[in-house]
Amino acid sequence: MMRRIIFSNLLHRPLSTLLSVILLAFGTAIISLLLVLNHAFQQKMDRDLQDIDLVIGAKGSPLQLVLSAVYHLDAPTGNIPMSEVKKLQANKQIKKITPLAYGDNYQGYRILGTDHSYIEKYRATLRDGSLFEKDFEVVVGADIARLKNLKTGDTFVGTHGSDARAHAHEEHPYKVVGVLRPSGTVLDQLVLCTTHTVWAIHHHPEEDHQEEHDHDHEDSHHDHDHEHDHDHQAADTQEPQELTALLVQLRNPMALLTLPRTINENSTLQAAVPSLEINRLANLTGIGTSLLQGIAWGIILISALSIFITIFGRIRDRQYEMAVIRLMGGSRIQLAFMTLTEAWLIAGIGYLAGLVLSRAGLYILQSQVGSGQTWPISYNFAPPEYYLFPAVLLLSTLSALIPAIQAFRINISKTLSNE
Amino acid sequence: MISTERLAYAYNGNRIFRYPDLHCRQGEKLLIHGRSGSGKTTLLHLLSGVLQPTEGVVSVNGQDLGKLSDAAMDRFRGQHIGIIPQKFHFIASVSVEDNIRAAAYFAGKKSDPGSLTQITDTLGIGHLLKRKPASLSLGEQQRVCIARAIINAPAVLLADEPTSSLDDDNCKEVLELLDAACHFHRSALIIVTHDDRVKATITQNILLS
Repeated sequence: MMRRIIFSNLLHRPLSTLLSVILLAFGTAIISLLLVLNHAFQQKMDRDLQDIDLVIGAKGSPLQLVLSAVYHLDAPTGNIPMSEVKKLQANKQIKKITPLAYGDNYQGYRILGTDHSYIEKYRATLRDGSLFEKDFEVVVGADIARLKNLKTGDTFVGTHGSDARAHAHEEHPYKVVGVLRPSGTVLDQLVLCTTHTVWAIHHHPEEDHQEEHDHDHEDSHHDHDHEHDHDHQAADTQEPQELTALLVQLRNPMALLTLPRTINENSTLQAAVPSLEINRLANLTGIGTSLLQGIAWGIILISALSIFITIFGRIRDRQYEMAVIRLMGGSRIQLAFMTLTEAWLIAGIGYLAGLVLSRAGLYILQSQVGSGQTWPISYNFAPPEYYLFPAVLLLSTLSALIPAIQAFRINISKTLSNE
Repeated sequence: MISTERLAYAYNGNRIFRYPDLHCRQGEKLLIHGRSGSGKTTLLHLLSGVLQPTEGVVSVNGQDLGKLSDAAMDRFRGQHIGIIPQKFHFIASVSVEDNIRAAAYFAGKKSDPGSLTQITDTLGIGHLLKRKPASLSLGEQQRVCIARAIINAPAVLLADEPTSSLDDDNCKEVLELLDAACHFHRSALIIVTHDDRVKATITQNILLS
């Protein structure tokens, strides 16, 4: 019976109930959306950071080095000579070095020279084909394969540098030998090949013009020859063997305290600790997020206020009704409980509607962004969302507290006499 | 049955109402009349435990109301005292039937569908059960109030000015309905009014001055 009365009361004045629910739903939706996006972003950042204790590259901004080498979001700081790399490889504190040589790009996607350890680091697996072994063999990431419709056996030409509109290296087509499964990491958006491929491509413009001229006339013959040359004589040619950055895994976390300093002070290289740099970045970009969160909490507070006004108004309208309930034997506790429950129901419905709204927002976001990026946002609860419900419940309780106390303290005699 | 002893109530310590002792046994009817401002409604609230007397004792079915805690008083009132207030207030959002059943619910009794039908048919509101209270006429609302007051088979039925706004015909009808309502459970009926027309039907009466 009490349940029926409470529900009927909610529906008796549908507009004021609806207003409270809508306000609460929007506040909840915005906060939950922010939390989920933030969580997904952080997870992706963490995934990309897998096992990378240290990033080593040319001197410059450490943040730039991390952004370029780990996330491929920025231009590299410069190149490092092989001789320096060799010295590092002898370092006992270093467990594994993954070399990165930035090459051309394929329609805006970076072609990256590296070795197989880069793929193993992210535990990525091949969807089909095999890993790159020879020069000009490439493995493409899942996003690129999907968007550019590439499959094993296809060939394409890259353009110089990272600008998609730059001059094309048409004389050296790349051959796709494998396609990776989506891993939710940077690999999804990279074209991977041997470092040697990158060197071979870059070697070209500096070669004498006679040879280049020959290429144009004996295309098919030359390609065959050239590939052959690279396979067996790569070490002999005078290609500038430079790397762009090194992803370093340390043997012992203690080395993180000393090694970066040693490298930064005693060599021409720069060592950056990615987790530190990313924290710095998060602190910078976090301002925007916290502003939005503040606005969303503002909306939730306003909705709590609207619940207060709604319930308060209803208690005033219903004072005779409540006096009659007391006459019929209802207790103070029951009246207060009915008042609180009404607020809790509004809060609960608003919260659920907000979650639905935020998931709908996520769906729209994903379908808009999704064409360019794999942004694996799950529709599940993001852990910080768990705190949202108690917070909403608490606010609605607070907003219904004064009306509930009024219901509790109602003076039946006075109410019934002041007709 | 209901009785009082040396009952007095003081509003903020200055306006004191003193009431003559009264007794009303099962099936008996008692009329309490007096001018406006003679403390009629206050007496009714004292009798129903809504107000605590400044002095004196009210006992219903042998229970001293002053000895009950707040929550126990609510429960006791729901179960043993039926009240028909001067103005009719209902739980606006639910139907007439639910309003009557709510009386049983809040008194902690199971509502018996058979007795609900019997009571509402006797009062002539059986066809209104699904309607919202606000859509009823005043006369119909009063009948719903009577049904709500007697659904729990109260020992005492208290009516506050039940006839004051009615013409002679309706006045007679309501008094008959109250009479019938009392017969239902052999409740003691106390009517508080300034309406002299009631004196004709209820002989036992007390004048407040």
